[in-house]
Amino acid sequence: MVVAGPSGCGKSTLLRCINGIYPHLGGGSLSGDVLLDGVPVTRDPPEKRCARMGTVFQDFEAQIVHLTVEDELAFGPENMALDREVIGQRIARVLPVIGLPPDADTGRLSGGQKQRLCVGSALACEPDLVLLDEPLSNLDAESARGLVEFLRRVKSEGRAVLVVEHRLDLVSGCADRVLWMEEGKLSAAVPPSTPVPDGARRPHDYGPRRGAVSVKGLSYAYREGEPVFNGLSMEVMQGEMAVLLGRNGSGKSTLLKVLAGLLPVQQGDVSIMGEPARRKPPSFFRRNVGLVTQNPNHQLFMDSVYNEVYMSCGNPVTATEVLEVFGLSRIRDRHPYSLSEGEKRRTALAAVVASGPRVLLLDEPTLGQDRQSLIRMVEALRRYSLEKSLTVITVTHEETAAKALGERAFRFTDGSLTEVDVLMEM
Amino acid sequence: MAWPGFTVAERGFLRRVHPLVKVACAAAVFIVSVALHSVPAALAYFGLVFVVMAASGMTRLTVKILLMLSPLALFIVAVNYLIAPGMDGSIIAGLRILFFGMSMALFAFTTSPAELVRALESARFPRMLTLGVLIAMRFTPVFIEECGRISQSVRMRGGAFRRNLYFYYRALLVPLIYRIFTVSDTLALSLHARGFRPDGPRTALRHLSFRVEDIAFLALFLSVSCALAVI
Repeated sequence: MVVAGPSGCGKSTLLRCINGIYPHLGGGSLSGDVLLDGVPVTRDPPEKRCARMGTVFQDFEAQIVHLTVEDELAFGPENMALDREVIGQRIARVLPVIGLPPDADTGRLSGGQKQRLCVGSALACEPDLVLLDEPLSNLDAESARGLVEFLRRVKSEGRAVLVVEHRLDLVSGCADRVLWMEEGKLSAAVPPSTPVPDGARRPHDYGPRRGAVSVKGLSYAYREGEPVFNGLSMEVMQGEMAVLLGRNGSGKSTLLKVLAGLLPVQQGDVSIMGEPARRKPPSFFRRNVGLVTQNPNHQLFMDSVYNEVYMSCGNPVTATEVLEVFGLSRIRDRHPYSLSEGEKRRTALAAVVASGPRVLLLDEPTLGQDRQSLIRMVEALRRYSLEKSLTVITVTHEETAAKALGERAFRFTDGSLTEVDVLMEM
Repeated sequence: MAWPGFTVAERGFLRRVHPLVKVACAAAVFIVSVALHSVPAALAYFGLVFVVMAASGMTRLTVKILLMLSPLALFIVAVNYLIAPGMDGSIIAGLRILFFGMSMALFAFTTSPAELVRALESARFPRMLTLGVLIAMRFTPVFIEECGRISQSVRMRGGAFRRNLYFYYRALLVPLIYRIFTVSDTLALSLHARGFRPDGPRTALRHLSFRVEDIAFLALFLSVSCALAVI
């Protein structure tokens, strides 16, 4: 079963009520009962409850305790005080399913592998029900499809799987039922998704424009490592919206960091607004380039949404205007850390845009965003692109975002970059 | 327990020695180096520890560590000579820096964190302590990486706040503290969801027990160390 719904509608809270964490650990008050096989879930102590119900939380990095895959898988069964032989048998059953070597260092696993390990760790307790909170939110399309396939196998073993997820396009195919949650209420009727307009079909009515970002023969390698990419070339014009596509680890974020001046230009040439970027001081990049990183929590530090934006531009009129464009006026006095992920992301984006960059770089701006948040964000970016000739380069895995933000698209393949038709690619 | 630029040795007899025996040996090296008061005994002990490391296939690593610590050792020799003239005391003071490096390497570069925790659990250390050690080792690199990401994100936020130190440090510290709290929160929920109770009954997949070879190595190493310390 899949539970979908807009950000902040209570999906994660529902999950935590089901697994008995709320209200005992999270506070609040609970009315009604949560029954598993007709028995209240809170009746059993935690070491017995985990045998009936396994939970995988959204932040997979924060739930891995051990340093090797085998130890992590053994953690739950050890807490259940099972015999060593039984623990070994359970690990042997889970390992082929998650496809990870037992002695692998958990700190070095990719995002998708960590996600599989967390699910495997819950499965090692052999629960009847597996609860997953947005398991696909940090995965690229291929890893997401792999995890969905994996969940299909878990389901085929006779276990119930309850998934809270935004990306209905990926999970609804393997679900028996989809429930929609909105304003704290569940319903079986999933509303039709609002279409996000395609960026590639945007009318090209800018007239003559000059290059905003020009990359020629760019190569980059981290210390003592293989080159991440070799001889990249691309040109994005002023006011254009481009997307960078490719698998995890293909070099998309590294390219953004080079363009933002966070990493040096090692080989090749990079020009920003017609000026060579090599050996330019940080002030040059701050003036011209804005980067919104994957995690909005890294860029928010003030006590209200308004102050976040005002701190970037120092002008109350501009701050109010930017809040309006990004649809944040309603929550201008809220603390940024009290917002939903989608609202946080729009706040970080608004704060960066308010500082007046001419090139805006977005690293996975759609993670954790529901469709309405995405539409608001796309509309705001288009407005800035059209009215202020803001150049937007977006790294994304999501089809909807790529179509919406990709007037042009470039795909990373084996360390090289080629321009592709975004609609054909998707 | 790899440090940046170094990795845990894959082979060598020290790799197979019980982690708590290595902790005892490392402590012995440190204590004996403080107790040594004659240059020949100090050099002999230095040679002994070096041979143990070399016999475990760690010659290059040991030389690398010694070279890294040499400037500090020479500085200590010079300062010691100026404060309390006398070559013997100065040489021993310098050698102590090198002993300290070797004692750390003897344990840290031959023991994986997982083995250390397993050894502590097998030795019946309190569960909260071993879990604490485990979490510290697991999350220290995560937070170091997180600090780097936050610093980069702040650099790209734009705006005039950089000119105000209060806001600049706020921009660095608020996201980091928030992240520490969210990680702790999720970690606690994850432990709870997998049935963890500090005082509850528990079994272990693997036990690390002391072997005869471990006891023999410890006895030999400690007896030679004590002998050289009293010379």
